[in-house]
Amino acid sequence: MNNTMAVTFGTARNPGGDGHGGGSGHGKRPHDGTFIQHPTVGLYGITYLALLVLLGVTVGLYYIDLSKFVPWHGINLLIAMVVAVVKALFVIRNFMNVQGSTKLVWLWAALGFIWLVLMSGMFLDYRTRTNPLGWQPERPNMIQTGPRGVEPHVEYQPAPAQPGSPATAPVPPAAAGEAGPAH
Amino acid sequence: MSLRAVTAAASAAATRGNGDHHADDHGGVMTPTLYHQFEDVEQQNESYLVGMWTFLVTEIMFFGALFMAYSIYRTAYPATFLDAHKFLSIPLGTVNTLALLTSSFTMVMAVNANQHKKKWSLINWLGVTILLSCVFLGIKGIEYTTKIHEGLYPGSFNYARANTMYLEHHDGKAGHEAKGIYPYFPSVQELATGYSLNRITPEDPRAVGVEQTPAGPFTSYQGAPSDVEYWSKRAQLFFSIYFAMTGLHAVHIIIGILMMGTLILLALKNHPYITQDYMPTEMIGLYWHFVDIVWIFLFPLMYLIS
Amino acid sequence: MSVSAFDPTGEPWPDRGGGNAAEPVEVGIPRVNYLNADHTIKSWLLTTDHKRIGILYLISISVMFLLGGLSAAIVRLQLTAPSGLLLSAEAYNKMFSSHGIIMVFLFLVPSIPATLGNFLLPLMVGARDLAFPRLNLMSWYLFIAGGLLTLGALTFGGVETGWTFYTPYSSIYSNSNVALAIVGIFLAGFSSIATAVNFIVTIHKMRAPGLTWFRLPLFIWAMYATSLIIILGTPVVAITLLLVVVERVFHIGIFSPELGGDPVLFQHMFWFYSHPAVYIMILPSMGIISEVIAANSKKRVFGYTFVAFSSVAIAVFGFLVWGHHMFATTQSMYASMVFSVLSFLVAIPSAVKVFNWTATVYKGSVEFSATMIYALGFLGLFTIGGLTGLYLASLATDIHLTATYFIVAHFHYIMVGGAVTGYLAGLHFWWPKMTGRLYPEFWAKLSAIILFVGFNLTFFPQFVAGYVGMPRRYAFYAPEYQIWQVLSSAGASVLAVGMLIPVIYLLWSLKYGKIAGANPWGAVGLEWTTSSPPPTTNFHEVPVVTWEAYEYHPIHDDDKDLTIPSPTAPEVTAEERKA
Repeated sequence: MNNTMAVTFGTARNPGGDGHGGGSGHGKRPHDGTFIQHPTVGLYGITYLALLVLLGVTVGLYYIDLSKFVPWHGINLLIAMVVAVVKALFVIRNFMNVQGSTKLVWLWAALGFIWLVLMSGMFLDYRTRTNPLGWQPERPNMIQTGPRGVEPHVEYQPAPAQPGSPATAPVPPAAAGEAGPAH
Repeated sequence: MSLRAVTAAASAAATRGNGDHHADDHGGVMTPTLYHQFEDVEQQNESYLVGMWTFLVTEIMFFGALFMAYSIYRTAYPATFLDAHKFLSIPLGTVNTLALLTSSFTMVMAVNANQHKKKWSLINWLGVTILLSCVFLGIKGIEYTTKIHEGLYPGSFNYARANTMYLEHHDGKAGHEAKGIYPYFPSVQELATGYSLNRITPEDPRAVGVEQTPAGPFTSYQGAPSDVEYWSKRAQLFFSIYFAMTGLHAVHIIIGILMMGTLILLALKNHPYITQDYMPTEMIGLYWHFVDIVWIFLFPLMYLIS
Repeated sequence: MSVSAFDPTGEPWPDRGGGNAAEPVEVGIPRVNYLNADHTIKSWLLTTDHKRIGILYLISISVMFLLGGLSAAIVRLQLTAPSGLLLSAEAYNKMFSSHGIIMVFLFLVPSIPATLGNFLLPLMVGARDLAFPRLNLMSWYLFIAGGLLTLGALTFGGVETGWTFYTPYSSIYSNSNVALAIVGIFLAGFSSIATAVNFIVTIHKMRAPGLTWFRLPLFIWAMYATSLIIILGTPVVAITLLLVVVERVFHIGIFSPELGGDPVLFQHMFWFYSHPAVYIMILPSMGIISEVIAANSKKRVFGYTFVAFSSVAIAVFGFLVWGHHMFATTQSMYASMVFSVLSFLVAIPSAVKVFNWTATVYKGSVEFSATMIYALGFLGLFTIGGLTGLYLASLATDIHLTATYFIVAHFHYIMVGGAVTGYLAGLHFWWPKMTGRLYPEFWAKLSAIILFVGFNLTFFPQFVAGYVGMPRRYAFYAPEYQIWQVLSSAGASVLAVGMLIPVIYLLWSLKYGKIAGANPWGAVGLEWTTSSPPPTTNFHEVPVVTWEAYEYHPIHDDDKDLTIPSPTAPEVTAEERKA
């Protein structure tokens, strides 16, 4: 077990191994002080061009309502996020040179993002709330229906007609939730 | 095997290894200062690298918490976010993204120049990077002043006024139908008299009361006055997050500019950090790419809500 | 992992590559060490030596502990009478807030990592210094700047939000110095991030040749787990608190319920750090206890691998349970159920540690030194604190107990009974290494016992008071709770005596203590192979490690002066000795 861990993490100051946990993870590296294999300028250029193309995709995506083709309103967001993740991976892999660095760097590069996933455990709460967020304004002639914990889906109930005053007919607002303004 | 033997073997390998790497481009071999706590340069460089990545993990968590708040509120108020994001200018945002992506590219070119000991190339690439980040900050400044002028700053929030002004400037068109931008530049007097905070008071004749809100293209404004207030408050939440996230990002950009300026100064003075080492440039490069990545996510989340 | 009696390299046992062979130091204080290498104030304030920075931290943290203790004393005085003895309700709020803020952010979080960790980590991994010594110095200055800002905010005007800064009270209503105090805490947070970055890089990259992960002392494993938590958690609370400042100063209200924001989101983010922060406080203590129990039982820690991984497991699980602080808020009950189950899971790695320590003592050559008394006290107090935590992790019980004195007692059992007891054990254990002098053993034993008694007298009544319904944070209370509060205050004064005695004799020992020698406890571990106090560069020659961790052999009582077990010494078990 000693040796496997040592190889995984790399053992400090012990490139050759004295039989006790000497790491063999140093094998590929050139030992000239600049141990990191840096990409060439060509790869930088290609990465940059790819980023520009993906930026075009990101912006172009905004003007195309994909939910016309796929029966799910979140599809635009999903694809936009996938594109953003791909862009970030390009930057991390090539510009930040994770592909030329040690496993340890790779591990640390991944750790922050893994922990963000842990943090999104907060959605466990927010997606199952039974009460809306924040203080609700005074809305005497409204009742809330629909899934709780998200933006209240508002339905109007006609106010009880006051004797002597004409009943007002309130204008229903656009349904909240997924239905936004018409594009 | 004693440590001394290990070190000797490592340095022998280091001497042999010089020929086959990029150092042969310009003949120079980097001989960075070896600090007393390290055994060799390899250990020192990798420690720097791991340390920087560890720091970047804290930065990821730092921004991650804000992204978390954003996601929670966006899933809670999707329609509000959809409405409110239309006050952000997509052309300006795109130009900014372009500037930052390009600056990331120029930054790796600067690191590359440093590794090859090309001093002036390094200074030029860093200069371009600084220039691009100043472009970013300038555009950001224009966006901020415009938002504050419209009444979209959370401290002096007036959604109705913003709505009116937006319609005026876009010939009644909303969303992506509205072409162009209208940057607002504050006068010197406005800047001098505390422009940013609480500029529009309820007594201000320019403040348009919510009750007089015209039925605009923003669907959320069609409805009872209480609804207008409701939407206005939630839009303020969107702009709170917008200002918090982009503001924190801008602070990081400013820190990056300062650090790159320091690098240029060091290069001009032929400091050994630059002439004999490339790790300082590499570290600042890593930081800069991280700032870029944050914007890569901020841009679609803030400007391109659909 | 058998304990090998023979050194594979054939080197004689006493020469472990440290300072011993080069410079025999058993007879006295080495002529030049890190303490007397340079005498100017400047050489201390601008030092990059991890040992000196550790000492700087030790002094500043002791001051913080004193101030936090003073506010606790005033709180306890106030509560002796149901109508309050000293303070108005507002002043009382400010006082317990001061106590919490100082103790949590300025004492407990930096206590062990920044003092003992700073001092010992390079020594234990056989390095000359931490990876980034200047960053280390910067972290101390950040801590001092943050500490002074916070103390200033607490002194001039005060803060009455409690140490948790819950919104919307802290962001909208409170008129006290919340923003200033938070900026100070923000800086202190970055100081601990700098320390953690340093530790992680040092543990990864600067271990001595042959010192594999599973030969590391468990204190190092605990430090690694702690650093992980600091790296991953502290930025979250930093930004969360910063958002409160931003809301107060710039009216950018992310948690504002008026805007539809969720104040409970603040609690989510706050506890995402602050629950793991409990483990920042307790994990280093656990590391110390592992060292102390092994050294005092002359036995390898039972189940080394399990104890090592349980540290990491606690660090990871600790991040999954933050929701159990919000059972009584608007958090959805489904989330509460999940968090409840996960909270029970954290008990597993903690229990693994407790059982393994107990098993380590079993059949060891136990010496009831002062450090061992502290360690045994830790075991009992931590177990009580941990088990009462399970009461609070179960949903229904928590509804009854939340925001009562039961909570107060529970986390004081963990933080004072656990973290502070461990800190004192470690301080005593490595005091000879830090100063080169021994403390008076009798007084140390006495104070350890007084501390244990005083602690239980202080906080056990609070369990009862909370269980019968007394809410926490009340300046005035119903008379039927007075008996518990008076008992608690009486215990607090005993506790204070138990805290003051060590201060006196430790300071006394600086000048009059017996010369310790390199290894007064007969402990193994790289830090004991160099002289006491160590030279500025720690080791005259970088050690090469060829032995497993905790290669202790149970020894005869009359062998006590045999500081390092030699391969020729026969292994004598406890039964053989009895026979």
